[in-house]
Parts: sequence; structure tokens; C-alpha cells
Amino acid sequence: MKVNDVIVGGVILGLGAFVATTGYMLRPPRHLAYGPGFFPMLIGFGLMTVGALIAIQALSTLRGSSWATVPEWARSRGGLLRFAIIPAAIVFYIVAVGPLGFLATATILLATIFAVNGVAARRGLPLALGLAVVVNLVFASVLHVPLSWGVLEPFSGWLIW
Amino acid sequence: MSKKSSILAGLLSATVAGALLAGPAAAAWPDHPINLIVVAGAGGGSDFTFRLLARELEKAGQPINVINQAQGGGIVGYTTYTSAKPDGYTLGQLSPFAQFKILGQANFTTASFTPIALVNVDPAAVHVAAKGKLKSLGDIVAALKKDPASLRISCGGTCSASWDIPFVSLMLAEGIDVAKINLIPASGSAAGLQELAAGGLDVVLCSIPETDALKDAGLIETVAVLSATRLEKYPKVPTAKEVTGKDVTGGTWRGVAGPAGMDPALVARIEGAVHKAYETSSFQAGMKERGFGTTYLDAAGFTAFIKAHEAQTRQVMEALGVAKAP
Amino acid sequence: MVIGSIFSQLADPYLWTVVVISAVYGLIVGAIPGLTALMATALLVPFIIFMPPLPAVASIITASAMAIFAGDIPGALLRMPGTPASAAYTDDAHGLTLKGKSAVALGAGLFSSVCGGLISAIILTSSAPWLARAALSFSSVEYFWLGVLGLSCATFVAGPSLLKGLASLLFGLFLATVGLDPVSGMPRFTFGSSDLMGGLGLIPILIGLFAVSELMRNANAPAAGEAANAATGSVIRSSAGLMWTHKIGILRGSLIGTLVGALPGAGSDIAAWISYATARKFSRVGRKTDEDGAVERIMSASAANNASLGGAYIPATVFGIPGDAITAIVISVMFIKGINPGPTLFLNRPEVIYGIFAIFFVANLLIIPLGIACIHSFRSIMRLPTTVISPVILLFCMLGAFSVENTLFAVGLVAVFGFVGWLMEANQIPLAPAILGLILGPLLEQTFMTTMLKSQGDLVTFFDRPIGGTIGVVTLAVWTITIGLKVFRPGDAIEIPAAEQGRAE
Repeated sequence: MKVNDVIVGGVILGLGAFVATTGYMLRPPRHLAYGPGFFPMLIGFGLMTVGALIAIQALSTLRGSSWATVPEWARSRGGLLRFAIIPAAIVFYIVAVGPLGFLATATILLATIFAVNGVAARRGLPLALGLAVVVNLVFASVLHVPLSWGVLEPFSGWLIW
Repeated sequence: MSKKSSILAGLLSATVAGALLAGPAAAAWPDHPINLIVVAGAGGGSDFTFRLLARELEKAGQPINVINQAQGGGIVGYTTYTSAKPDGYTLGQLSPFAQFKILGQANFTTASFTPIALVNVDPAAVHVAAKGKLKSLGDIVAALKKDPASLRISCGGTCSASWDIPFVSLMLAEGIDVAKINLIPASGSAAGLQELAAGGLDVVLCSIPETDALKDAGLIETVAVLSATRLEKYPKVPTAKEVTGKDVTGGTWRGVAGPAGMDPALVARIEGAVHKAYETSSFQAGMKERGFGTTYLDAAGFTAFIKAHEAQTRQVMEALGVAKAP
Repeated sequence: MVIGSIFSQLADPYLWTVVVISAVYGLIVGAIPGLTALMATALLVPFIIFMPPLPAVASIITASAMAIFAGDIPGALLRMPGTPASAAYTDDAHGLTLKGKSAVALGAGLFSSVCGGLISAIILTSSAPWLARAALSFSSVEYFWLGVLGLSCATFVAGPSLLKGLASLLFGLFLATVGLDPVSGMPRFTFGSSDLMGGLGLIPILIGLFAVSELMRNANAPAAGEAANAATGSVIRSSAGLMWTHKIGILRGSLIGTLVGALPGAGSDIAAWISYATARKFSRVGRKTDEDGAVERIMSASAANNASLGGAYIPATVFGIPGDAITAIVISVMFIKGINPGPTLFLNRPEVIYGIFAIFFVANLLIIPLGIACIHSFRSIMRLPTTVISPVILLFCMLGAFSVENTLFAVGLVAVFGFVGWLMEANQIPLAPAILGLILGPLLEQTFMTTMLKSQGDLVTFFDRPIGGTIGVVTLAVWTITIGLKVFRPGDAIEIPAAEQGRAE
């Protein structure tokens, strides 16, 4: 999503103000000449300056340009869904991988995105399961990445090679 | 909706079942894989020690996942395993931890852990540049007595940690105004030692094996080790007590612990397994090869040991003036 | 003795298995538009973390060299550069394809890539030990100035708007301050969360900013359209002869590539752009609009992007300072493996470091047979539908972040920075400077603070060491000149069009 540079500059300015004030409030515990807040303050002032300049530059061309441009695909529900499914899938993974285990989580995750992308469930579901099994075998069983086993936990001793 | 609630119900029943099984669980340990959290990055000394130990512990019948969580100086790893269920399946590395609370970074105390066994102690040592003016620990003490701020001393890592706390403790015993000592953190012992060779520092504090390469190149020298006796592998390095007469020792140490509140029967069973692993020749040989010390303390001894660690750390950090006001 | 040990290391069949698998993997990832060499490297991490040191580093070197080359293939055939590094000469290469000469375009890319890689490997092997010895006398003052000099590269990667580039750089520097302050140990920007106290990991942010944001951007892109144009013909026959004709272009590209690669923070895409611009402006042949001119430009730029890989390992192995984002990953892997990069590495473990250098030669020679095979099987690779590939890539992104950090928090970072990266790109804020800031931030802060502790607050110390003072003055001059040029001659200073910069469309 493209927003007007006045807003971009404003957001950067705001971030800079936050960083600078937080840095200012950090008091060093020992009498250091330059405490833990010194660098954040420099960075904060830098961000504020750059943000202000971006906003000022954009103000001069403000007339005739719109505040925000929503991309073409975002007007259709399918397009929005195809986009939003990506962050949503990651959030689902974080929530579900503990209780369900990696195998089930990855299968559900892949099958859902396949479906959203228009792959027929008849093909998508077995494909998702197959991929999840392969990834689980490679990462957890062979490479010993501590992926959650979830409901398989009691048997996982036999599944780690 | 119904699917969600059935999952929830399943989870709940699993938790209840887990609580009911707590009694006989000790005898059955381990019946599924164990997570062992290492509070240091993969490849370092701690990682090496615990992977070596885990390889022997796996002979108890279940795989052990060694999980490295070094973020925030180990705070992330300690948080992970102290907040886990005290069922014996999430264990972790316990190393110097008292500084976190004193610095206001985290709230770990002896009560946060169930200590199981100590397996390693590596004493701190004092290193100087080979071509520098300082030739012995005596020179360093004399210089600091004259002007406590006159030397640039690297902590060989973050400050208020394993290497500088015992050194400052020694200087306290010498009656030096330690609050004025110029302690400088480094991004690691390698960085500190290289800077020592480049002439940017006067003293570096860290363990001895880390200095082998630069010592072989004739760039640095070790003037004292803060242990009770000389080290077998480095017989020429005197102890701090031999030089100063003050019996101050310290350094880093590594033990196995679990979350607070573990069943004593379970602790006894795990300690037995750790002791067996510690005694194996492959663990002993592996540690010796890398120059790491082996020292064993059982659960009771380890508990007393970490209480002493908390007291020493607090005393030194208050003298340094770095402790956060309560 | 060292030479003997290098050969015995290279005789290890396990190493060769790793190298060949990584090569094939690098070629596949590089040849798929949208997947970059950087992402190929980031996704390798969970695999190599369990390998011995030499195969681990060899795997990254091989995969990244292959991916950079393979980016040329879809660039020439589909006008879709596989990696940003190929973007500079995509139009020239595709133009040749339209004339039915795709074999010439691909062959030019292939052989000049090999040459560029080999020349930079020679420079790396011969100069790094010498630089390492000099670096032993570097203290925190010199490192601080090198860090500031590295930041000046942000102006190269800033794209059309210097201000937005600086904003991105400062954003990266800010991200680096989250967590425990390295000097006093005070928590900063942590809001009491122990996850934030651990800081924001480089690799999750890298995967989020580059890979996930790319997936989000492509979520609604039309599926990769027409099949590869034209028969490829014999790559060797049609282009081997051209090598000699364009030897000056290749040599110039290799030298530029090595040099740009060695600058902290500037990577293969910038090397390709600069070399392409030089060929176009200063070479008699490269100025021509005919086929000959196109081949000259392709060869200069393609040699440069592969040469930059070798160049990037000079600061990485000698100072532990990453030359680009790929070497940033290499450095963290080396630390994990206990081979801490820096001048002492050359004292401690010469056999490891020379083993790594030897891999450069092996990897670049392997490009010839495997690259030709890849060109021929390219069509079948392109036939995999993106609707299936992109969810799998997403899963790998999460796994990549989790395997490095071992926390679900890191997976969350991937999502957050995927979205942030997508927003930044949509608003023409370049991503590369943020990564540069994230990498150099801790170095700058730590060296500044420790220098101040050592001198007890006296700023003069930054200029009173001979080497440090010189680097300091040079750095300040570079900053003044680059900013001055940008401010007073906007549009003329650096010719990197916004759309191509940092990503492949």
C-alpha cells in the first residue's frame, strides 16, 4: 500500500521522537560519560530530521496527489485473502505448533494456502500432508531441530534418529 | 467451534492426567525425549560441555534435544526452562546467574531453580600483553593501589560476569577502591585478547584455554589463575593466592538444573543419571582435551554453591556501584 | 603442512557430497524468479548448523555462487532476473534471446561468472593473510571508523531518494539497539519482555524483510507466464570464443566486483550495477548498441556479481565485518562453529581458512558443468506452479528463523518484518540499508562505548592513533563528498533506478 510521503515522513518523525525520548530516559547506572541512552538518542534525532525532511519535500508536491493508493488486487476479496493468508499463516503456526505438533500444523497451513491459491482440495490435501511429512522427517528426525511433536510426544523417542 | 472446544478439552485432560501421574513419574523417567536448554550459542564451551554430557545421558534410553537459547546473555534460555513444567523433561544449563537480578534485567534467584548437579568449573585468569610494562599480578595490584583508574581492564565478555567478579573480589580483599576501576566490556574473549595484542588494553580477564593461540604466537602472557591450585595443563601459571596471599577464587561454572518445584525423588533419579554420565571416560576425556575443568557437586552441594555465588556477586557488585537501587 | 592439510580436507567425500547438493540447490533457488541468493543462504542455515565447519561454510559459498549465476537464466529467457544481481543486464540478455541468440547471452553470463569468481578467489587468497596481519594491530578505534565507513555504503544502496535510504539505515540501527545494552547491561526498548531482552535476531529480520515481503508482494502477481523462448543451443560453442574478445571487460568487471564486494555492506547487485555503468560509460565496445556491445556489458556485469562474493569474504574473514548480507550469515555460522572470524583466525586455524578459500576455486569451476545442465533443464524447473511453491517457501521461512533462534518469538518476527518490509518497498524505502544498519549498529556502538571507557570520555582518542586517525579522516571525507554530491547534483550521482534496486521484478 502506497501512502503519501507526508504520512511516511510523519511516521518516521514519530518513531524518531519515541526512540529519542526513550533514550533520554535511560539513566546510566555508573558514571559513564556516554550511557546506554546515547546511541538511541542520536538515532532518534536522526530519524526525526530525516522524517521531517521527507514530509517537507512531499508537502511541496502535495497538491493533486492522493493520500493513499490501495493496490488493484486489494479491491477483490480473493486478492485480499491471498495477501492476508501469509501473515495469518505465520500467526496460526505460532499458536498451533505447540499443542498440535508440527506435522498437523504444517499440513493444515499448507492445505489452507493451497486452497486459497486455487489448488483443488483433491490434489492440495495429499500434497500438503506429503510435504509436511517430508519436512518433519528432514528437520526433526534427521537434523534434530526441536520441532514440537504435539500429540505425538509420547512416541517421539522412536521418531528422532 | 466444537472442534476448538474438543481440542481444549483434550489439552485439559492431558494436563490433569499429567498431574495425577506425577508420583510414579520419577521411576519411569525418562519415557520420552528430554529438552536440555543451553544458555549459550551453539559451538561455544557451554554448548560443547552439554552436548558431550547429553550424548552420555541419552544412554538412559531417550533422545535429548540440546536447544541453544543464548539471547540476552542467556536470559531467554533461563526463562524458557524455569517456566516449564517441573516434570524432568525440560532441563537446562545453570551458570552464573545472580547478576541478572542485581542489574535489574531478570528475577532469577536460587528459588527459581531446582539444582541437580554441577559438572564443570573453569577458573578466571589474568592476562597481559607479552611486551607490556605489567609482568605479574603483583605489578597490577601495585598499579591499581596507586591509581585505581590507571589500567584498562577488559572483562573478556560482558562486565559483572564470570571473569571480572572474582578479580574485583580479589582487589576488594587488597583494599583497592574498586568503584574507580576501569572495567571495559568486550564482545567476547577473542575480541578482548586481540585488542590486548593491539595495545588497546592493559589486562584481559578470561579463562586460560581461550588464550592458547595468541600465547603460542608470543603476543600475550597469563600472570595468574584464580583457582585453589595450579591447573594440570598450565603448571607454570601461579595461583592468585601464591602471589597475593589472598584466597580468592572464581570463574565460570556449569551445572544441570530444572524449574523450581521438582519432586525430590525425580531429582534423585536425574542426578543419578547425570553422575553416571559425568563419570564416563568419554566425558572426562572430552573435557580434558578442550582444557575444561571437571568438578562434581550433587544436588545439595550445588544448592549451597549457588547460594554462595549469589552472596559473592551481590557483595562485589555493590562495591562496584553497579547494583540497581532497590 | 597447511597445503597438505588443505588437500586432505578436500579429499573428503562428505565435503563433496555437501558441495554438489548445495550447488544444485543454489542453482534451483537462483533460477526461480523472486528467490534470491541471500534467501538461498538464509534457508541453508538450519541444515549446515549440524555440519562440521568446512562443509558448512563450503555449502554457503557454493550455493551463493551458483544462485548468483543462475539468476541470469530466467533473466535472459523470461526477462525476469532470478536474483537482483542479474537485474542490471536483463534487458541486454533478453534482447539477444529475442534475436534467437539465447545461447550467446547465457554462455556470456556463464563463462564471465566463472572468470569473475576465480579472479576474486585469487585476490582473496593472496591479500587476506597480509591484511589479517595488519588487522592484528587494530583496536576499537579502527573498528569504529571502519564501521562508519561501512555505513557510507548506505548511500550506494539508498536508491533514488537519499532521505529514504537514510531513514531505512537509521531504522536498522534502531532495531539493533533493542535488547540489553552491551556496555551497562541495561534493558532498552524491551517493555519488560524477556523475548525482547534477547534482542531482535538478524536472520529472522532478514528472512522477514526479504523473503516474506517478496511472497506478500507476489501473492497477487500473475503466474509466471510464457514458456522459455527459443532453443538454447550449444552454450560452449557459441560463446567460448567471445571470452578472448571481451577479456578487458571481464577483467575490469572482476576487479570492480571484488572491490565493491569487499566494502562492508555493498553486495553483488551493487557490484553488477557499478560494473554495468562503467562498461556503458567508459568502454568503447560497451557503448555500442549492437550485439557486441550487449555481450561486453553482460560479461562485465556478470563477472562483477560473482567476483563480489569473493571480495566480501576479505573483510568477513579478516575483520569479522560482513561485506554483504550473505557474508553476514556466514560470519554467524562461523561463530556457531567456533571458528571466530577475525585476524586471530589466521593464527589459530590456518587450515580452516585456506580450506574455505580453496572452496572458492572448486565452486566456481563447478559452475561450468552444473550451470550448463541447469540451463538445459530450466524449462522443467519453470513448470512448477508458483501456487504450490510459495506456501512451501513460507514454511521454510518459518523453519529457517526457528532453527536459528530456537524460539517461536523469532517466527513472529518473520511475520512482523515481512509486513514491515512489504510496506517499506511499497513506499520506495529501500530494504538493504536497514540490514546494513542492523549489522553495523552493534559494532559501532560497542566500539564507540569501549573507546570512550578506555579514554575516560576523551573524544580526541578517535584521531590520535596513526591508522585509526587516517581511516577516520578518510571516512569523514567520503561521507562529506557522497552527501554533497547527492544534495547538489540530485539524479546524477548514482544511476540505480528505483524499480530494479534491491529486488527483481
